[in-house]
Amino acid sequence: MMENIKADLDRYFKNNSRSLNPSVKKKIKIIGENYGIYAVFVYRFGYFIESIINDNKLNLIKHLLLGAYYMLNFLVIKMFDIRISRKAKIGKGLYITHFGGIVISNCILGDHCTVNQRAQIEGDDFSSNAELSHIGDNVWIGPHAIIKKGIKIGDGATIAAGSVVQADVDRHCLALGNPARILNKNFDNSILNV
Amino acid sequence: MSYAKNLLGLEQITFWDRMKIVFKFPTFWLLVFHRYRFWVHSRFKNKFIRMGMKIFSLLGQRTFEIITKSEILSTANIAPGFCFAGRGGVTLGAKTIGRGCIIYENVTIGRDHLYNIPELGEFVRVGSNSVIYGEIKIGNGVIIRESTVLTKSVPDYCVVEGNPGRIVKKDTTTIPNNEHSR
Repeated sequence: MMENIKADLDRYFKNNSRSLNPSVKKKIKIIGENYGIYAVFVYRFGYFIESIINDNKLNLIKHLLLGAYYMLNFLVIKMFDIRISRKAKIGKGLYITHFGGIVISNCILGDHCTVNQRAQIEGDDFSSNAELSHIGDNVWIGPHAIIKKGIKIGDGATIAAGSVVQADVDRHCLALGNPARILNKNFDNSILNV
Repeated sequence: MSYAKNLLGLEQITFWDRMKIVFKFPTFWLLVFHRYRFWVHSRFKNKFIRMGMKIFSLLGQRTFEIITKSEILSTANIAPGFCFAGRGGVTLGAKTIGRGCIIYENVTIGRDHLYNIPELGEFVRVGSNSVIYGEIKIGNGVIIRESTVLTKSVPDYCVVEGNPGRIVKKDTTTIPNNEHSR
């Protein structure tokens, strides 16, 4: 959990100040300005409860922690309108830009991804892992983009703003439009996905 | 006042209409705090005076950002007569916005991967759920319909629609006053 949070923080600092180690004042400013980071923290906390404590003896502690998680999650949903399912498997270094209307339901997201405002990843809590959408590492999901359930997106892919992804997207592709079609098969998103 | 004209449909406003605007639309307060911050930034060059003046607006700014779920870039130069129609959800990162623009709900105006931001002309209407980004110029009196994704410059008095956005009508010299929809 702590490793993941450190990676998330590093991404926020890198994206907002263009250096790995900004001054303390700058760090406080970045944490205060980016509301997405609170949502990521609460998600990590919820996933931590689910993954670590599976012991029967610790059932009471688990339920207490879950209560705290639900209260925090309620606040995040009401204040920032960011809904991240605690069952989703998200790799380290998730960066949420801006806030409002973000939905990440149960899915498998790789490391070092970026999710922009009003992007939606569809899914549900009761279907198996194979049925969910698989999203690779270094994927940049643009604002207002919608990814349907059961879609496979390769590493380093870029989903442009406002696109609705209904078919699989291969590695290093740039998908665009509604329904999404592949515009560029070798697109480097390292400028976007810092 | 743009809010009275566009959202309440009034040409002349009384004191009670003004009160209505103040209490009914939280986006109005967001705009007020943005204008205050922009004015401080352009008026005062001293760093400490700036900080002191901005501290007053910081709490209000944050509160109304969260209430309306919208953000405005601090360097965005918004001309008078601007109005947010709807409840917010706007991420606004334009360089300049002309006179009499209206922005509806859930709109994103922002940068592309090279940090270029758009410029909007006068009397532009941006429909809900649309995205505008990149180094583009939007002319006067352009109507951008709902759910448009726009990445190219648009000349004056056009109607834009679709994803990716394309020009549907040209030379609509009469700007429709109340009707944004088709």
